[in-house]
Amino acid sequence: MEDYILKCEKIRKEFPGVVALDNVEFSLRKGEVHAICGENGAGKSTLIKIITGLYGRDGGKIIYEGKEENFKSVQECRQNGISLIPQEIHMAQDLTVAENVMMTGYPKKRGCVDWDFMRMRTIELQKRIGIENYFTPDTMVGTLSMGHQQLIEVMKAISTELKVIAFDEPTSSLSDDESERLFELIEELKKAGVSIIYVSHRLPEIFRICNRITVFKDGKYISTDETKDVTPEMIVSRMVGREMAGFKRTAATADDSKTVLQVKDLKWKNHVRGVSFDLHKGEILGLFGIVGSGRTETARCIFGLEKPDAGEIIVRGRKVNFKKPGDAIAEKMGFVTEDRRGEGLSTINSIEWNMTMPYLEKLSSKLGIINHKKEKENTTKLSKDLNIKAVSIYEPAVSLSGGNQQKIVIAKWVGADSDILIFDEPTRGIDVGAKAEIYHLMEELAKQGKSIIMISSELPELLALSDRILVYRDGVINHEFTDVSALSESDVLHYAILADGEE
Amino acid sequence: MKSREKKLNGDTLNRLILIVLLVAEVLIFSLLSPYFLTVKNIFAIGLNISVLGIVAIGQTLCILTADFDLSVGGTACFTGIMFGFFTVNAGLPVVVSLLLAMVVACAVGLINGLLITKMHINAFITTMATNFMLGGLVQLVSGGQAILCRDSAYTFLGQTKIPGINAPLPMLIFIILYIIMAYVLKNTVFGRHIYCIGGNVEAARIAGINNTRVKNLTYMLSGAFAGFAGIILSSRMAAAQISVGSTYGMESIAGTVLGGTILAGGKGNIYGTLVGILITGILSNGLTMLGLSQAWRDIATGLLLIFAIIMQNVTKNIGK
Repeated sequence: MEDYILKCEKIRKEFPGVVALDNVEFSLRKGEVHAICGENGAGKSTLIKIITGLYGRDGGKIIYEGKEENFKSVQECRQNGISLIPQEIHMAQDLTVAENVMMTGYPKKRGCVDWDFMRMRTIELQKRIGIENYFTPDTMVGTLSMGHQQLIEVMKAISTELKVIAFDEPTSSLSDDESERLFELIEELKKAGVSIIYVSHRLPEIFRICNRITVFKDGKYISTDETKDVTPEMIVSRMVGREMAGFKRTAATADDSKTVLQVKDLKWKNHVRGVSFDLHKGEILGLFGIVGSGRTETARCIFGLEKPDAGEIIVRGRKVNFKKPGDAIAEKMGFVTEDRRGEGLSTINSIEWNMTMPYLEKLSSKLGIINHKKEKENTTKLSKDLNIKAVSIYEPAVSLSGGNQQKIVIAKWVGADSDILIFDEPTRGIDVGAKAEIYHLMEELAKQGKSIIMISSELPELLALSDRILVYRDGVINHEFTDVSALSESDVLHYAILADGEE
Repeated sequence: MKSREKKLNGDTLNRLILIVLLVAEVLIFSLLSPYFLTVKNIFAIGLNISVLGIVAIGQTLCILTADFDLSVGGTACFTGIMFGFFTVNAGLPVVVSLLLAMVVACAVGLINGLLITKMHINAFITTMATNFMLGGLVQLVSGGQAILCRDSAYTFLGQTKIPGINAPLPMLIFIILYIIMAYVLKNTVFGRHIYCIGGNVEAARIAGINNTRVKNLTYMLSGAFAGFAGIILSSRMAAAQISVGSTYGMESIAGTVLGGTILAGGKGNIYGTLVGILITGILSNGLTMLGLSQAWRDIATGLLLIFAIIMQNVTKNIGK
């Protein structure tokens, strides 16, 4: 047993309304690299956040170095040799490397910060992971790339005696070169006897650097294997197969002869690298891909929120050049954004005000005087149609549940009579009942001849709703499925995280 | 779906507290001073608060969009000076110089707006900086001295009494402007857009609201109200003064916030500001009647503001 540095037994974690981790198991051997795989929402990040002290747990035991431990904070974990390298690195951009590395406790001499010691110590840490030539202790962190900032995070981790380090999607914001360097660093750490937990979507790199692979699905533990005993296909098949809320499209409504939207060779920064597709009347077009593969960015370019670097967008046969969302709305487009509170709603304002925001002019006189009676009738009807549960339409949006808030966002565009609708993660963070209602609503909209682009990381819903599915990988469409009837989740996932496109 | 329910939530309670505060003030002062509740004194209060009150309308619009305008004092002073300059130094007819001065006020507001929306400079810095510049311009244009003008056309706006009731004209203008702007905020698309931008600027953008245009217009209006207030003051004193308005920025923000408009934007209304301005104005007037100096009035205003904000925080979660 002594070769295990860390064992997690029956770890349970609940968030309001969801069980994020349901009695999961995980063990880490001394000096191994151990991957945790799973789809979005499988509970991978939650587990490593519990292990590294960022989250508390609602049940289960953590045995660290043979003893049951109950570390309460990130600091306590760090002092005991457990560190997390988070997915999003947040550093004080206007401070130097040394200041960031030593942030938890500046060395002092006669009551003042001991700058000489700080610099020395920083260089020493740099040398230990072989990066003394990358930057000096006095370099401003803000001038460094994400990859280098991640290395500073690693330096922080090794500044105390490091035994366990957990990486959360470490390569998601790195270039290929930077990723290579990270793999070398992980190899170094491993040699130095550090045990590594590696959370990633990217199976090729997992198979390259990890000794063992654990799979989670829907917050449940599925399996743990030696990497040599499994294939990527086996891992994918274990990750998928989640339950769907019993929804099935009744009939296909797509009219393939009528194209309402064409995207041609769209490019935007590093995120969208040449994307082309058509959207037909009455169609639900599913966009799948891991987070950061360019789906949302494509949608933002189409809707005039970002200016594409290259490519054409053609709406109903006419080339458009939207400068702002208002231009897209004038072409009868609507966008249900991913971030409900950040971009979808003005939560302190009423349901009514939110619902009529995009088309208030239509409910007003030529002089811009709002017809309150019309506005009320319109909002009341939409609330009824979409089954929004609220005391009154004058309640602030913040007082409603996630599902009802999402229905307000959708109601905005239904009310605006949008013909081309983009739904970005439309069911994120809402309960099962509301999910089913939203699926039925989307189907109903398609029946009415509206065209829908549905971005989702939840394969079951995407498979149940889409007429076609485009699979994104690294900013391009890696594969198109024109027939989804016999498609399985692993078929789709295969193209999102494994295979290169067929061309 | 039921119609608007009148239940006792935090917002209603807050409005109630403000009204109670106002009534209490009036009661206390009328008990302490026999002159307080006379028609003459009420008109005096009305005349006194009308200038700041008009400034506070524009300030409320800015705060509703989640920004604020620190340059209202400079704008009021500079516009007043320009009114005097056009009339006296340039010899233009009063109506023409009034219109020109208003164009200047709108331009100042628009410049604020453009710097904030197009150059993406923080509203605090922008309006503070323009306020400095306006102070300098006042000195340059006036040569460091007030511009006197006893012309009856010049003093019409500020010194006219409404026949019959003998109420000062500025007070009437002040009340009419509040009614108009309350209507605009409640019933026009522009007014609603101000709230939406303050509530969530990204959501407003995605809903197709032209945030830049709305904000520019808001700042232009703030400049216009501040400038108009400055003109009234200049007219009332029969002189364009060079040292007025330095406290308007903070005082108008205080009145607005006291009236329940939140600094984070998106929530509040113009009537709240009216009550807020009345509360501080009456406090100041009452304490003066009791023979207290400006020093005590300032301290009392500060205390009142803190008290009101504490009450707002206490009531915020009631009824939720």
